[in-house]
Amino acid sequence: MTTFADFLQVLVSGLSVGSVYALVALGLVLLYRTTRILNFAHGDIGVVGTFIAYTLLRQLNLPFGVSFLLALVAAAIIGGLIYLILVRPAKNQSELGLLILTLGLALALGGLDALLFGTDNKVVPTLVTDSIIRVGGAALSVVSLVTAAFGVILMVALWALLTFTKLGVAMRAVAQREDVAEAMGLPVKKVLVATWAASAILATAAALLFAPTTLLNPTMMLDPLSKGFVAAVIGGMNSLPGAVLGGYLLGVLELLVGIYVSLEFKASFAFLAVVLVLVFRPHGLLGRPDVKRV
Amino acid sequence: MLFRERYEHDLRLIRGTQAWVVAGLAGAFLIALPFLFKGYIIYNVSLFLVYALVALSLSVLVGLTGQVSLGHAGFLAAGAYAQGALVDAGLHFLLALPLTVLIVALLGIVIGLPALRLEGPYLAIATLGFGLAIQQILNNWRFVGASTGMFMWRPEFFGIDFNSDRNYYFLVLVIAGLATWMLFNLERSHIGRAFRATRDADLAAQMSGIGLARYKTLAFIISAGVAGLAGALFGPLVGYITPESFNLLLSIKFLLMTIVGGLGFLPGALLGAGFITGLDAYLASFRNWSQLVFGVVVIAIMMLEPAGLYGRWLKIKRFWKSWPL
Repeated sequence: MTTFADFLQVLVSGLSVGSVYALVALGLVLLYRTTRILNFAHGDIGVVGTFIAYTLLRQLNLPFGVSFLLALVAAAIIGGLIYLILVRPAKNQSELGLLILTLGLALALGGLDALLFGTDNKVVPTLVTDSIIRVGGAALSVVSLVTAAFGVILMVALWALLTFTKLGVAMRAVAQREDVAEAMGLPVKKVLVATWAASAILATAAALLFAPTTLLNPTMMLDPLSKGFVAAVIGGMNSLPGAVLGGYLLGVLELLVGIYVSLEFKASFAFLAVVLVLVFRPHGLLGRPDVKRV
Repeated sequence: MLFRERYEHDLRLIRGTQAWVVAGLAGAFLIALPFLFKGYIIYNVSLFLVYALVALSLSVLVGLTGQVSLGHAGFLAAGAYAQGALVDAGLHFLLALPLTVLIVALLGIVIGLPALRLEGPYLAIATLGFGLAIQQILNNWRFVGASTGMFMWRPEFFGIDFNSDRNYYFLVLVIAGLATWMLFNLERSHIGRAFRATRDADLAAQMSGIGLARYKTLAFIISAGVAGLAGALFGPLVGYITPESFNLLLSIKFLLMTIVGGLGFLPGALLGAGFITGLDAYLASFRNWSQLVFGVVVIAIMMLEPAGLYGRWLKIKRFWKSWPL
């Protein structure tokens, strides 16, 4: 086997893991730059969506695509409701207070999952049956390729939403200056509901793509969520391209470290990487510092 | 004393008769407790004292200085493991204790220096990463038992055997009490005021001659040192530690204690530690429901009372004293 084939193999599986990280990071950044909330319930929202898809698939025997689509719709509704019921009426609107609110929500949703669906591992089928295709001596898993492709499709869709639709422009306006957007007559509340919904869809999509590679259980998203945070911070918390870059970079580098340095070091690599990046770029690779008025 | 009207009021350690009564009653209760209750409760109150130390240390960092940390279980772990390794190397418990505090305080510098340039979400994620990284490192470090963990023995000195829950409780009470006293004193000293100035308006503080880098790093050093001390007491209390004992959830619980209790108030951290530890112990009997109920309680407090439990208490006090205004 050539070294190029090795490299290609690592690259594809790295990009496949990376697209899950990138999707998680995108959801986090999308929400953070609009609402200033570091959403620790992001992973658990995704798990709830995945459980819904699993229930539709197994209990109601709905076809694959339909149950996934319905799960995404349900996630969007859950996301919007979280904003309307919990976040908007909360009296503690400080950045730290809202962070704690999402931590509480993460615990509550995790506990709810465990109560309703149990803590045992469930097998979620993959979108395509896995097989190996060989490209120039490299063995590539079809599931990895499909995961990577789906990640890219979703990212392009988000980019199109933000760039070409009225809703997307309004989202960017609210992200820039909420008070001015409101003064200009934008329905800020609706836009924020839409932002929460979009973020919840991204969370569920990431969880659905990730579920086949592990198994479905209430704590499934703990690792991808922490890696998603790292990816978002490496890229810059207010930069969507940064989140994508951070996700893919982390996915590939992590695998390379696992292969060429040591497998034991792989798990902690992400957290050392984030400190290293932040020492040199305190606002991430593509992030811009907030300008503070004195 | 409802409002601080004079500078002397601000300097007092315990403010007003009511505070004296509460502090006296709490002290008397804590001393009498081992003679009134059984081992299970003594153990849980010892655990509360240890957690209260961590909550206080976090309150100095988050509440007074305004730097968030989501990795304080990492400092607790460092303290527990350092103490364990030093005692295993043959050092006396009381000699190992200050050394442990020193080691963990040094670790605080290592984290505090890069933290100088970070704020908001970046600092939160960097400290979260630190906590997880410590756990991973301990998981792979054979010298301290890797993932199987290590035993920690309770000491025996001055002719007292601390293996009994009651005796060890008193040891924890004395050390935690001294550390608490020190932190309350710190808050009303010039250092505490510099911390608060840094939190409220860092640029203005800097222009008034407060070295931001110095005080922000100092906050990390003090916070890490006290958390390390708590770790050194925590290890022998539970008797057996594994890297899994210091997981992300524990870090989150420490942050919850400071914020649920009332951010920026040191008594609030004590209150929060009592509340969260008590809730945890109480919910243990709920089994499957415990996590859900815990989450719902946290959400409710955040939604209803921004100033936390201690803030609510201050509001009630103000209401009665100034009624009908």
